[in-house]
Amino acid sequence: MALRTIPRRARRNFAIVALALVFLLSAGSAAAKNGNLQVGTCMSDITPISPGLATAYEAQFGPPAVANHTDPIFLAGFGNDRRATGYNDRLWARAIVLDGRGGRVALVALDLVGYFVNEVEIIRGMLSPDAGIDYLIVHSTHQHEGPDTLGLWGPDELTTGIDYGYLDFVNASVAECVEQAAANLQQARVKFATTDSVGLSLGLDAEDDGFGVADGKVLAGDELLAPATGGRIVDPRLAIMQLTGRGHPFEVLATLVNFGSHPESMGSSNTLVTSDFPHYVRERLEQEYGGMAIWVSGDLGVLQGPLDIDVLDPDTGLPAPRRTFRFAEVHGTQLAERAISAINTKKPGHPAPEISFATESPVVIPLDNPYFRFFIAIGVLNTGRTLFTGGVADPTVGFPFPPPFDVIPQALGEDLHTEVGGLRIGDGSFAIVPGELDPQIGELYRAQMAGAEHTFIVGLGNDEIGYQLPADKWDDSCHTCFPFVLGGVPQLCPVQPIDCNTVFINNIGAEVDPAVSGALMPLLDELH
Amino acid sequence: MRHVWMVACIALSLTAARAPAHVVYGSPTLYQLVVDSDLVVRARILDRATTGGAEEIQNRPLVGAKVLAVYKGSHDSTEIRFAQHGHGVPTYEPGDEALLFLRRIERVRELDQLAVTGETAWVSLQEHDSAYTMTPAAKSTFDAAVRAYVAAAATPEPSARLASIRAVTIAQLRSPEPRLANSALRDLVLMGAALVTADNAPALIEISDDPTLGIGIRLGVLTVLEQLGMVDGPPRWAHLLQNTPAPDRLAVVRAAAAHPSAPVTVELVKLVEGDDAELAAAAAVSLGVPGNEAAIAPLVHAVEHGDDRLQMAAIRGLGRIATKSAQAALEQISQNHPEPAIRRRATGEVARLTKSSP
Repeated sequence: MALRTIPRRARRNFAIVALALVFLLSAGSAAAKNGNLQVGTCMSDITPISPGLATAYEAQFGPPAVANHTDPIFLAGFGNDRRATGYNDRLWARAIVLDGRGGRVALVALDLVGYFVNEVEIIRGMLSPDAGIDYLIVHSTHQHEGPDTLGLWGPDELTTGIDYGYLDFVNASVAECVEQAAANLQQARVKFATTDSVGLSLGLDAEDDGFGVADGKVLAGDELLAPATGGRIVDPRLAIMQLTGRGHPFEVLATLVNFGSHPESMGSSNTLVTSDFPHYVRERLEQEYGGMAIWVSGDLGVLQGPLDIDVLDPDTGLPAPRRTFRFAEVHGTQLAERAISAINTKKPGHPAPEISFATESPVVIPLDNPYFRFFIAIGVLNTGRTLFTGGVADPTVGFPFPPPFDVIPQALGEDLHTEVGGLRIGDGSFAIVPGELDPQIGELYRAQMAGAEHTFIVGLGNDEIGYQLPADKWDDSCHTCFPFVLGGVPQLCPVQPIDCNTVFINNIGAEVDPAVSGALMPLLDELH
Repeated sequence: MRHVWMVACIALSLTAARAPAHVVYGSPTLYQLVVDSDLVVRARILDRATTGGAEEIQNRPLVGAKVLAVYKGSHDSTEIRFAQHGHGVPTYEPGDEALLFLRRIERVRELDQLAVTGETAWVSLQEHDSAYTMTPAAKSTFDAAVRAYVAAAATPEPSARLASIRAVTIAQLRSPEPRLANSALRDLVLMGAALVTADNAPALIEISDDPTLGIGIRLGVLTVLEQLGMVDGPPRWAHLLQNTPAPDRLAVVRAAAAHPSAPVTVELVKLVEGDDAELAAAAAVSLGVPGNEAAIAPLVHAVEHGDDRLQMAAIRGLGRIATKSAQAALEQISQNHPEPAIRRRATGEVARLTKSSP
C-alpha cells in the first residue's frame, strides 16, 4: 500500500473547516448514565418482493411474502434492464446501536447498491425521539445484485429503475429496526482486531496480486506508487469489531467486518437477488459465534473487486469457477475465517469505551459531471436528489450547450450536498465517507486516525456520490467531452485521448476529494 | 444550421484517426460498437481457456471461437482467440453463437502484457449487456442489422453516410428484436439533432403513435420529437396517459414526471383518484414536480383517503413539490393524521426539507 501527499487544497481547507461546521458531541442526551457500554442489534428483511416473485420468495425462504416492490425488479450495478428472476439469499438492513460515554449512535448496513442522503434524511426524521439516537449512519454494501435504489439501471438509460414504494418500505424498515435495537440495549463489551487479506487469492490472473481483491483501474502515476504491482493498489486490511455480553461467557451480540471490495462476484449475468459474498461472510461468522454479523464495505473505489481474482475451492483443490455462487461462498468463507482467526486472539473487550463522533453537513461539492446533470434533468436519478445554488435548492432544468447540442437537457443547480463523519469507539475509529473511496485516500484517513489502534472505512456512508480519487489524478477529458461523447462523435472533442472509464464517468468531478477530505480530515483530527 | 454543423462533425469524425477507447453510460449501441471496433465477426464459441505460455505472465481467461462471418476488418484464420476485459464481462459457453466486437490489444492498457507475449491480438470489451449471443431464429435479423450499420459507417461521402445511418436507425426502431430497437432509440436520442429532419419527422411520429411497438420506443421517440420542437408535447402526453392500456400505462405515468405541464397534471390527478392502486401511487410520485402547486390539494386528499402505498407516495410527491404550501401540508399531516405510520413518514419528509434531524 502506497501513500500519497495530502492535496494542497485539502490542507488549506482543514483549518477553516475545523472551526466551522464540526459538531463534536461529547455528552449525548441518551448516554448511559454510568458510562457502561450498552448494545442493541436488529436485522430487518429488505428483500424486494414483487407480485411476480412472491411465490419464488415463499418457496425459498418460507415466510409469507408481502409485496413491497412492483414488477419488474431492475437489478442495479451493471447494465440496464437486468431483471430479477429469483433469489439466492435475502437482503438485509442490519443495525447496531451503541450507547455509552459520549452518546448513542446507530450504524445500519443495507444490502443495497447505494442510498442517497435525501432518503437517509427521511429515515432520520422518521426516528422516534424516544430512540435517543444522536448519530445515525446508514451504509450501503454496494452489492450489485439487488434493486435499483439510485435510478441508473432501469429498462434503458432514459428510464429510472427506482420503485419509490420500495424506498418507502426500506425507510420504514430501517427506522423501525433502529428503534427496536435502541429499545433492547444490554450491557456489553467491545473488542477490535485488524488483519489482512494477504494470500486469499491465487494470483493467477494478470490483475490479481493475491490479496483477495483486485484493482481494476490503474490511475496515471500509480505505477510510481506501487511499482511492484504495476500500479495496482488495494487496501488489504480486514478490520473487525465484535460486541459481546458484559459478563462471562461473553456471548457474542454482533460481529462487524470491514473490507474494501465490491460485492459483485456474481457478475453481470446473474439475475438472482443476492447480497453476494458478504452473505457467506455473515453466514460463517454467525455459525461460529451466533449473534448478528454485519458486513461493511470499505474503500472499494476505483474498481476494487473480486471479478479478476481466483480463490481455491477446498472441495475440489481447483480455483472456484468465477461468477458462480460457489465462488461467492468460497471467497466469503475465506474472508470470514481470516476475521475469526484475528478476533479469536483478543481478550474480552472494553466494557466502557468512550464514544465520540463528529459530522459535517452539508459538504458542498460543485457538480461538474454533465452526465449526472442529464440524468437528474430527465428524472432518472432519484428525484429527491436536489441540486443547490448558493445553498438554496435549485431544481431548474435548461439546455445550456451550444448548437447542435442544445437539445440535451441539464439540471442547472450548481452544487451537490453530501455529508461526512467520524466515529470513535474506544480503540476503534471509523471514517464515514459518502462514496466509493480510492484506497490511496483511505490510507490517508487511516493515518489521520492513527490515535486509534484499529481503523475502519465506512464507504457509501449516508450517501452514494460515486468515485472519490486523488484530485491530482483526475482526468477531466470525459466530462469536458460530454456533448461529443453523448452525440456519438468523441473524435471531435478537442481533448484527446478521452478516458470515460466508469471511474471518471460516475464521478461528480475534480472537486470531490478536496471537498470530502477537506471536511473529513479535521473531524478525524478532532477525534484523535 | 444545426444539421449542417452536425453533418460537418460526423463528416470530420469519419475521416479522423481512430477514436480512443471510450465508454458511454450503460451499454454502447450497436452502431457505436461497430464504429469503435477493429474487427467485427460472428463466431461460434469453442472453449474458455487460460493463458500460460510464458512464465512471466500470469494466467488470464481467454476465449476461443470459430469465425463464421467477418463484417468489419480482416482476420486470416478460421479461428480466433480473444481476451475479455471489463467490469462485468459475459460468460460464453461452448457452442454459443455470438457477435464479437474486438479491438487490437494494444489499445487496452491493462492488458498490454498479453500483447507483448503474443498470447492474443484481440480484446473484447463487451459487458454482459452488450453481449450479442444469438438464437437461430434471431440470427438473420442481427446479421442484417450489423451489415447495415457496417455499410452505413463505411459509406465514403459524408452526407450520404449520415443519410445511411439515419435510414438504418429509423428502420431499426421498428425491429422485431427489442435489443435492436432499443439500440436504435439510444442512437436517436444521442444524435437526435442530426438524425431527425423535417423529412423523416412524419415517420417518427408514426412510430410514436404505433400501439404495436414497445412503449419504451414510443415514449423515447416522443421525447426526442418534443425536445426538437417537432410536436406539441403536452397534449400527446395527456393522450397517452388517457389511452395507453395496462401494463404499458405504468411506464407512461412514470415517464410523465419528466414532462410536466398542466394537461399532464390533470391526467395524473385523475389517476391518483382512480381505482388502480399501482397507477395511483406512481401518479402521485410523478405529480411531485418542484413548484407544482396544482397537485398539492389532490395529494393531500390522497393522504387522507388513499391506501397505504398511495399515502406514502403522496407524501413523497408533496415533499418533492417543496413549496411552503407543500411543507405546511406535510406538517399538518405529521401532526394530525390518524395513522402513526403516516405521521411518521410525513415527519421524515419534513425533516428532509428542513434538515433538522440527527
